[in-house]
Amino acid sequence: MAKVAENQTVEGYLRSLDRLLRNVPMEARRDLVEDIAEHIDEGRERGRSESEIIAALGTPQAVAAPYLEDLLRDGNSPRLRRIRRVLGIVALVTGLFAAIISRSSDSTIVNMVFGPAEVQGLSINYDYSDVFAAIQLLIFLALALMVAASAVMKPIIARKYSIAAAIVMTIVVIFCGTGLGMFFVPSMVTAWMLAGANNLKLSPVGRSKRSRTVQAIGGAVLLIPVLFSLVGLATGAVVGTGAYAYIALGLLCGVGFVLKFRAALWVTCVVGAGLSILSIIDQGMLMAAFWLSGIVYFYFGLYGLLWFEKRKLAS
Amino acid sequence: MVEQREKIATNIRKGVLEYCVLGSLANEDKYGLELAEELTERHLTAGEGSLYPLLARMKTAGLVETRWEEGGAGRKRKYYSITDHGQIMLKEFRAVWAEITEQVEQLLGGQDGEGS
Repeated sequence: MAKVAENQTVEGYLRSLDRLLRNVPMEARRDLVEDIAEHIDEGRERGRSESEIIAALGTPQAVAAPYLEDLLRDGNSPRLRRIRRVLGIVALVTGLFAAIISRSSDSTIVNMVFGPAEVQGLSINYDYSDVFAAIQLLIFLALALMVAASAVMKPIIARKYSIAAAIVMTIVVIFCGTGLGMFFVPSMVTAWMLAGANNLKLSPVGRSKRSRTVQAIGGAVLLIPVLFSLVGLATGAVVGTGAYAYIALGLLCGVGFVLKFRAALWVTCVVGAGLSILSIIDQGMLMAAFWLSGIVYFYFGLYGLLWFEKRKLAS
Repeated sequence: MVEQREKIATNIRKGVLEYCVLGSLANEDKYGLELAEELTERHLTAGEGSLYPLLARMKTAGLVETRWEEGGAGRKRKYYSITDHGQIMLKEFRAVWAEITEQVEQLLGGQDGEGS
């Protein structure tokens, strides 16, 4: 009953309409509320009473209905469902993978500042290795599951949940610091990508604008190191054949990324995964370099594969 | 009985409202309230408000376009007009509608107990 009473004033009517449309893309929401507001103003000018006008409009629910139906349909579109599923799998796989990699390096880089006093400090895996490894694996997997869960949720709940999960992951990364935290970075990035994939408010136009931004940033991130190597070679600071191999691969990934070649995006993704795997071999700062650059390559490649519009090769 | 009737009418209106809008705009450009009043008068729409999501969708589909014009009291009015694509769709609809109504009439004509 309260709802009916509220809807009897123009402001209440517009407010509840606007509220119903809260998950609808911004422009569509604004346009519809403005159209209805204009309709009411025109009606007033013609001498119709407010309650007459509102009664003739129909309930806010009925007015918003087509938009809400579209919303559910778009949120459940095959493309978005596929993207969410892929990201869910990525979340699980990277979570498990990160747990394994982080175990391989505990003795050198983990510097725990929380937990039981015995496991704090640098060499935590000397006495507690099995128990601690199991706990750590569980923590990684639990967080990965938490991130992946929104992939199978209903659109509107998934949106709220995935943002919450992404914020939790970000806090985990910051809280764990540079040592352990960097192994949670893949889960964090996946969580934010899922939050993006669950964002129903983003219209197709908004999405393509966003993917152009990522395209520019990714292109710069992938190509600037290549430029450094080129300069290094030119000035003689860098010697050896390794640099040439890196430049060739870096150019392939970077230029292919900017031009949205799917093959190059796949290569970028695989190179990223490969670099991350390499970090299992080495220790110390080199490991962090492999790990983080692997993440950069992998996620830019993944983003391109998921979101860039398909480019027609033969035309 | 009234409820049943309303239900049948709602179902049929759903499919034709879009073309009624096009038909109305084919005569002259109109702003929202004008369109709403016309359609309500003819009992073609139950709620005036649901016209606006439809108009937005038709605009996206390229059936109608909008422009702003000075209205009463110095405010701007959003006028809707039919596009060439809208004209083509309206013409198609006319042909389909004529065909359907003819067939339905023929089929039901012989069974009309009270009408004749």
